[in-house]
Amino acid sequence: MQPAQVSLNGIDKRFGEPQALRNVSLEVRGGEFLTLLGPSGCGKSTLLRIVAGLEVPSAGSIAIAGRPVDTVSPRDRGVAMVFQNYALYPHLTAGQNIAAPLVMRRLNWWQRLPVLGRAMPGTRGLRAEIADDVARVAASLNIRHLLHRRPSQLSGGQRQRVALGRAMVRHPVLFLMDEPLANLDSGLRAHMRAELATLHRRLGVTFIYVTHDQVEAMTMSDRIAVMFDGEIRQIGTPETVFRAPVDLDVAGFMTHPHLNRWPAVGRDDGTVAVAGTPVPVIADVPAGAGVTLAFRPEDGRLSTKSVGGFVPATVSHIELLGSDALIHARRETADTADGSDRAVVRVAADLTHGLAIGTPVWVAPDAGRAWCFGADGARLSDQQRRAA
Amino acid sequence: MSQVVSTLPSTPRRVPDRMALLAERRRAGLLLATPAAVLLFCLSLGPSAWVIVLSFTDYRLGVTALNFVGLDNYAELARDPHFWNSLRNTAVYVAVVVPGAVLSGLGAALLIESRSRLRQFYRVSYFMPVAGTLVALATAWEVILHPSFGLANLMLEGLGLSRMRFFSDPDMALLTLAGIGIWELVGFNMVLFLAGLSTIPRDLYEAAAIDGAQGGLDRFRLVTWPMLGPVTMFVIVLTAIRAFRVFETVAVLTQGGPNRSTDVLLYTLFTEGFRYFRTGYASAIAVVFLLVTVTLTLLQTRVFDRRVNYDR
Repeated sequence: MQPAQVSLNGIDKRFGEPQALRNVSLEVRGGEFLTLLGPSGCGKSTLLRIVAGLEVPSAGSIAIAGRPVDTVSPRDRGVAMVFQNYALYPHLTAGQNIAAPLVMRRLNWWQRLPVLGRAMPGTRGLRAEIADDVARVAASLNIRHLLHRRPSQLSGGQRQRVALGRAMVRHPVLFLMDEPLANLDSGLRAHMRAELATLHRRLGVTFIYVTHDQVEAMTMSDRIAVMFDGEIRQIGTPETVFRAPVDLDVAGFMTHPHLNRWPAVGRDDGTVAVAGTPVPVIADVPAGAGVTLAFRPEDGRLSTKSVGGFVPATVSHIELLGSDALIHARRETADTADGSDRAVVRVAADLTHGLAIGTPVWVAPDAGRAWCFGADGARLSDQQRRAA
Repeated sequence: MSQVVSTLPSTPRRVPDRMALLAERRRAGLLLATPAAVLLFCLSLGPSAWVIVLSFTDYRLGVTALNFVGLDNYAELARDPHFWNSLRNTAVYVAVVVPGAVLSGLGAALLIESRSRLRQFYRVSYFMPVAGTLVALATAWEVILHPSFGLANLMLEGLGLSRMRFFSDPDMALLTLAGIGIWELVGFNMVLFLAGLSTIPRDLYEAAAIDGAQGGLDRFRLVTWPMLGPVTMFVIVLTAIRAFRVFETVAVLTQGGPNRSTDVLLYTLFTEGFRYFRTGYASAIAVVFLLVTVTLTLLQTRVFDRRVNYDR
């Protein structure tokens, strides 16, 4: 079956104030793994549920595989969904859970009756076909030996597989996943990330995946759509979104654990000044303009001696992570309330020798890896400087 | 200088050894359980045991002496056609009231749950009979169902149907009482079902919608009914026990008549014990009553709970 394209056009959703979704348009390519990434409450789950048909948008239109589905029931949209809590039927065994979508579609109302249904003409053959299909899916997920168990007798990871099986069993053209790994412990989550990516390649169908986890989005997606406040701020490959975030929100969300954000002023020599210290960056900052200089901890540099272009600070906390360490420092500035005095730099662990809380240090970003954001939060283009 | 006040003793209380500590904990546990145990014995276990003892005697209310007569009371029960009649009437009453009150309670809960406005109003109006005094409400029913000027018969006449003798027709009287019994229990069952409905996770309905359930009937069969299993079981047993205890309406409206057609177990117990003062014999009836109630309860906890509880 052809993997489905999904077109969302001008989707609005109001539950009251604030608006849950604002004029969202999105083209999901056939066969692509697209992740909706954003903080909780940004509308990503609502958008997914609108695609599934569980939620009706206040305005806008949706097409799946070129067919408008605005008035089509969830059943007939040809989509499968995996829920965060798996939503397995607790009274049915794993096998019956996986069979449920087939039973609901292939058997009529009378054939589904508990005892009488077995006696209806054709039921036996259909039941046997369904059992074959369930066995095939279960084998591909390595859960054949669990089919007779109830969900309460399964571990989190096993429930996850049963939920996947229930989604896969009728060969949908589109998979929707709502934070499916959120309830797993971290080791299992890393394992399931790889497995989901493999599953996507094997099935070759379109996946729309909702998460608030930057790592899940980076590791599995073909493209990421980053959402804030009911809007898609940026859509692109993981590489693009990571390396060239369009605004300060996206940059902050794609950074772990803390994005350094320093107030700076543009100078006319191609640098910005942070509290009087000129720092070289590649950005189109007009002279005299107030901007925010931002860089990731791993893109910062640390010196224990005063160096030109480095900003003075004092070590406030040291986190040893194993092979590397996070050095938290504070700049001497009057304005500390918004965290703009913080400087977090990731260094190799053996470079922490001689550092202690209170040690004066000097911090600067890698010139090529820092961004400047204007007062409206948008990243200032760096094309002109690069060309020059 | 401010004073530091410590609530801790200056030196920790000494615990001689582990055994003493355990013994002390055991004593504290017993002490804490005592009030509940005393109440349970005085109000429930003690009287029940006393009734069982009395059922083996010829005790009569007001008489000071009593003789043990062994199983004589039970032998008399087995021969007594009035007892069998009242047991059968009670069984018919339970058999009508349980499905009636459970299904109407479920129906009312589903209807109320599905609408957003006036939900509170409906909830209260269905629950009213539960909160009211049944004796007073029974009097109201007596007026409504009065053979000549009752509202029910006036309505039947208005519809061109013949009048009915709700309480004086022996074939009709027990069913009329069952109808009132259903009306009395629906509200309570509805509240229990509403509580059960509110615990069903929303995402199960969403999974059902994606899996292909279309319309309320599919949803009900795939999600609502199985998820309500434990509540339904509880409601059935509770309704059966409450129906089995029918007494007030019989005492107020029919006094067991006409022609003993509404004589039920508790009413027979009442007449034997408090009209004829045959306390020993009435105790034997009470023991039969106790046995049925305990059986129903055990059935719920031992058999049904296991079959409808999916977490085990």
